[in-house]
Amino acid sequence: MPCPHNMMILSVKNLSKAFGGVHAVDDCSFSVESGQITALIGPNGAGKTTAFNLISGLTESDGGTVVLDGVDLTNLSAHRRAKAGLSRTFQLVRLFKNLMIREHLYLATSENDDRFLASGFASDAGHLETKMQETLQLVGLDKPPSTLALELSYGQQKILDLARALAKPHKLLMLDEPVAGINPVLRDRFKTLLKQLKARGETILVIEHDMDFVRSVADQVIVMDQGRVLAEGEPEAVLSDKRVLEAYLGT
Amino acid sequence: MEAYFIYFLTLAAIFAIGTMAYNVSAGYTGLFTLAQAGLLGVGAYTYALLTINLHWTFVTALAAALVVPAIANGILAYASKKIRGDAFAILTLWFGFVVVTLFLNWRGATRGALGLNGIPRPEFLDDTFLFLLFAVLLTALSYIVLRRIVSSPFGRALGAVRDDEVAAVALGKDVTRLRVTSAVVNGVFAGLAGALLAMFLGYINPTLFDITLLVQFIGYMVVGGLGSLEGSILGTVLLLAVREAIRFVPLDPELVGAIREIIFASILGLVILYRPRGLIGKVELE
Amino acid sequence: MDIYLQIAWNSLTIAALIAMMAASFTLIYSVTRVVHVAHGGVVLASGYFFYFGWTHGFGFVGAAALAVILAAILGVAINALVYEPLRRRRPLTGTAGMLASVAALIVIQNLLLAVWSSHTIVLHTPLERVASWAVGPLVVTPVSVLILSVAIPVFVFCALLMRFTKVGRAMRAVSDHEEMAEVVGINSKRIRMMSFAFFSAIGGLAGVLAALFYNLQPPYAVGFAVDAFSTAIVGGIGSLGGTVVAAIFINTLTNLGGFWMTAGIKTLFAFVVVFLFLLLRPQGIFGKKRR
Repeated sequence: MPCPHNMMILSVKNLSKAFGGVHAVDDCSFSVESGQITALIGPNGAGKTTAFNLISGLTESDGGTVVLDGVDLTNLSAHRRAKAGLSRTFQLVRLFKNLMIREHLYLATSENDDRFLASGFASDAGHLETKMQETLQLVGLDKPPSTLALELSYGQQKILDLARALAKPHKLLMLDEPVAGINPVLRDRFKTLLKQLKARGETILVIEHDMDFVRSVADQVIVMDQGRVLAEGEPEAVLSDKRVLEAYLGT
Repeated sequence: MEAYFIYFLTLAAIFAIGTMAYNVSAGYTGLFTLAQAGLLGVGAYTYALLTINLHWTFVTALAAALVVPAIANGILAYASKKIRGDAFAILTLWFGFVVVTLFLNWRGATRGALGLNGIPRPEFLDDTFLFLLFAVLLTALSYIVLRRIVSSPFGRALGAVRDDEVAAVALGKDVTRLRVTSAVVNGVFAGLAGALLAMFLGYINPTLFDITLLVQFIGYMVVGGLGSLEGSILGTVLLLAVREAIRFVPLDPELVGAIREIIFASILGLVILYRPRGLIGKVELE
Repeated sequence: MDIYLQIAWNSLTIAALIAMMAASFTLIYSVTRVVHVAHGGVVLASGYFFYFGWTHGFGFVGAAALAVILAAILGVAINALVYEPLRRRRPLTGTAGMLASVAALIVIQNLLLAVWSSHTIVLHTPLERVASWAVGPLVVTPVSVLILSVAIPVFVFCALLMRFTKVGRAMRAVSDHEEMAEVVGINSKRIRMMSFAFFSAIGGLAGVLAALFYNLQPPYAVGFAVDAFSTAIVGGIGSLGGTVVAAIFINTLTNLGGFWMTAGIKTLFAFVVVFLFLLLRPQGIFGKKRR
């Protein structure tokens, strides 16, 4: 989805969340520029996934605002935020294990399927199949669309997770460790894929630990440590920043 | 003997509607309500009370019998927004118990444990064979409607809620709305089954809808297979046949009743343990 | 004023009885994560075991001891036959455990029916020959005194056990985080078994008292189960103190309601109040808020 450059598609301000006495996310602020790939990195426990959960609304924040393409998401429930244009994957793949590949993608592209009167007796629209084939081709998922999610290997599940997030109409794609635990060949494929997506005008915010991946794919890097933003900037600059190195070594 | 077969098939047809409805909620949406027997009871008593005490017509009373349990189940399902998993199941089990207690004690209207006699059915259905045809027709219709629903985009969304609620939310689905609607659908058909039961037996009492009936529905549904409407019909017919067959054992009736329940519950237990998919289920019991 | 006092005393007695059933149920859940609905069956079965002992020359205390021991064995048996095998096949996260428990409850209820018939059994013990005492305007029956004098020490004992003994701490560890408990060397399977044994015994004690307070009938198994879990859910699953408060709260609510409502409506009334309460506070009175 092409967007004008240099526009901040996502703006996070003073986001906070404490669990018991632990400040998982502490007065965190950053922005994501449209048309770019922004990497969110940091040592374990820095609060990256929590930040994702706060932005997507799965966890209730203690304070702060989230604005997506001019729309204030702060008081919206999680599913409404998704409808507003957020699409994400999860660190631990969350697929619908009894559903087929096809159904995953149809679900992603269907609107109003949570409304009984609109879709309880309807049939699927014809264009869903075409869109599904396109997405599967793009991500390179080679299995028959009638395969159940539980029959897929881990790598294939990761691909489906990404495909589903892609197929869902969105303004921002949020990927939580998309290449964690997958083999190098697949990892390279993901790298290429992300660059292809960027070329198509996608805006991507990705959490990753693989620095190699980050260096080759990201335009901007945001470093989090102990719930706060430690540094922001271009990959080479940030990754050689002393404070950042200390944060990683310190854990 | 023929009369007995007609009786058996009619009962199976009526229960099958209740089992299919249950499966839509539990097997397709993952909403494990334990109020199923209570829902049938509400449908049955709504029909019976309206026709006997308030002299409503067959059609209007039947319509009411579809609406009341649907609303009740919808409200219960709404609670699942805040009350999760185990606690929710407990709440629905409690609801079933409350329903029976309510009917037992509301003696003014329901005559309590004495039950309600002489529940009317339309004249053209007085013949047992015609009633059987009527019941089977309604079962077939229910199957067709429910099949349509679960194969629709809406039905697909229900599956998403069941398999991973968080992922469903991330796709923008209103999970609470999906659950409530599924519960309402369950309520409508459970109410239908209840009303049909009342009409068929001509007599109902509160204990008819207690935990023993709940276990029956759990059994029919789980043994037939979660996520399969066909399984629900199959499971109902097979297990009801097993129950009815035990009835012919020549022992003291109370003892036979106890043995029947023990065998039935044991079958259910074994299936839960060793064959969670049931006979032809699409989904395993978690 | 007098009648309120009497109602309060009766409510307290019944609340103590129910609290014992609910507390044992909720602590089993807390440690093993199983919604042990069949506990209602164990409680009732204990009453029947007591009856058996009493009518076969065991004496009052002997029969009570027999009942409590058999209840513990029954609880452990259910765990071994139903929940542990289920656990081996998959983590006990879904409703399979609870459904299996409902099936087990049915089996117990019908076994009791098969052995002792549906006939209501009234226990005739020397307790009947002890006259009730008049304490001011209050009529205090010996059974109610027995119940309260057993229940209160039992709660105190449970609280002390969970807090200060090695076993209790192990139970709490398993309850909080089973994997972590295993890592520090706790045999969680054994702890679960011990929980079932101990808390079923407590339920058994409640069953004996219930048999004396009411009578014996197979359908009570479900009634006890409902009392147990409805109280537990209000008090906050896993909270001992919450169960006690909840028992008093629900019971007083139902009894006060009974004044100007018929019996049927008051059960519905209690349910509706609890339903609304849980919508506002799903974790119960003292329960922990889940993230």
